[in-house]
Amino acid sequence: MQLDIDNWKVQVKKGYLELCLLVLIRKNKRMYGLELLDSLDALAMPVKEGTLYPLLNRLTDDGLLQASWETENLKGHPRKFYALTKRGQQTLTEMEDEFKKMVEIISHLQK
Amino acid sequence: MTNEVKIEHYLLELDQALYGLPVSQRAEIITEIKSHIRDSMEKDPAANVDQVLNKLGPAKTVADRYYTMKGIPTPRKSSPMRRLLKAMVITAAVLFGLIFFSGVATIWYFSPLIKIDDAGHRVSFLGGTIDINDMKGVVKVGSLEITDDGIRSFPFNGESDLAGSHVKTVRIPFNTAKLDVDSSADRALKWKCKAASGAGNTDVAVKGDVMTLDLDKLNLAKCAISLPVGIAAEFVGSNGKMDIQAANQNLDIKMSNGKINIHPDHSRVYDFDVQVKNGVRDSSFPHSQAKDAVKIKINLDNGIVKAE
Repeated sequence: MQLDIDNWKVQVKKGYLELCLLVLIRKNKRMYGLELLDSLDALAMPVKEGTLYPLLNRLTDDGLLQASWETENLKGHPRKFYALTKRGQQTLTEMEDEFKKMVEIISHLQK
Repeated sequence: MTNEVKIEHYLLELDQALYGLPVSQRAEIITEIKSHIRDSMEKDPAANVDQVLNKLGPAKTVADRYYTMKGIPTPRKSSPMRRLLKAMVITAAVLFGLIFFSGVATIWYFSPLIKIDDAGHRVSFLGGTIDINDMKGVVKVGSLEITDDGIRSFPFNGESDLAGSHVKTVRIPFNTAKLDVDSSADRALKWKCKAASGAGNTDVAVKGDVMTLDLDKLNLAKCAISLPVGIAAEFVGSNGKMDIQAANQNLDIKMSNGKINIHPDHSRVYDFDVQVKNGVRDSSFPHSQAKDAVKIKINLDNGIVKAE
């Protein structure tokens, strides 16, 4: 049973992680990789680096995120910052609506 | 390995594993991962580079996630280096196979290597490539056949009187020939040859105390040679059949393939030294320390040496 639960968690988190990422980026306007990792870690949603970067890459390919290289100060090295695109904002709103519906359904069922 | 070297090594592995992506995308990914490593090191200076790289996971796994996220299959050939290595391994394997099979085929083709039929007076080598059939009087080397009745149309006759000359040795090189050798009654070297071709190229020359009767350029020659009394003779040839009658002078015969028949003069004393590498030889060749013994030395690689 334990294995099934783990598998279920992985499946649910797949979509949930994307939603959380997009919400986080919208909230902070723009974020880079390590920042996102730390924030997710603080929310008890640890994500592996090897998972996050390919996911950010795909969301950029899909046109939900736009990336730009920026150097914060003279000594620093360039970082790749991610921000929501217009399409990303629209998609995120749809995703949030869908998620709210799902939570409401569960709450309703649990009554 | 320094930290920089470790990082570069990891990034190189990642770059090679991302082989299936366009170069600009690869460069973007590599730069971002490098930036992440630097961020992680700056954030926690106590952390060592191995920990940071371990957290990232093996380069190949990270690359596979990029492929999965992009919905493209992981290319089987992950890098040009691996392709080259694979090509080299395949080439080496094919070459090895070819050499092995050609070796087996060669051995099979030439087997048995040596077949000696003592009772049938026959010796054959390399699956019959060299065949000395004494019953039929045929010496066969490849497609060449040396017989008593071959087509030999070019005559090459002559004689050279060596009485009073300072010649001490007569040297007779030959290629593929049947030679009937005896001793003349005087000090003249006489030869009567017929050959399929090449008679015009043959010559007799004296250099120092050696006279050379060059039969090397005669093809399929059949020669009757009378050796001068008291002058040693040397025969050097590849393939042949020699009959030597009542030799009364020292002989030195070197031949690769063939048959040598010795008909000794029983009134004389002989000192034989007969060496046959592959084949048969009579066991009845006497040795003698006597001063007047006629020395006959024979070196044959493949064939038969007999005393009649």
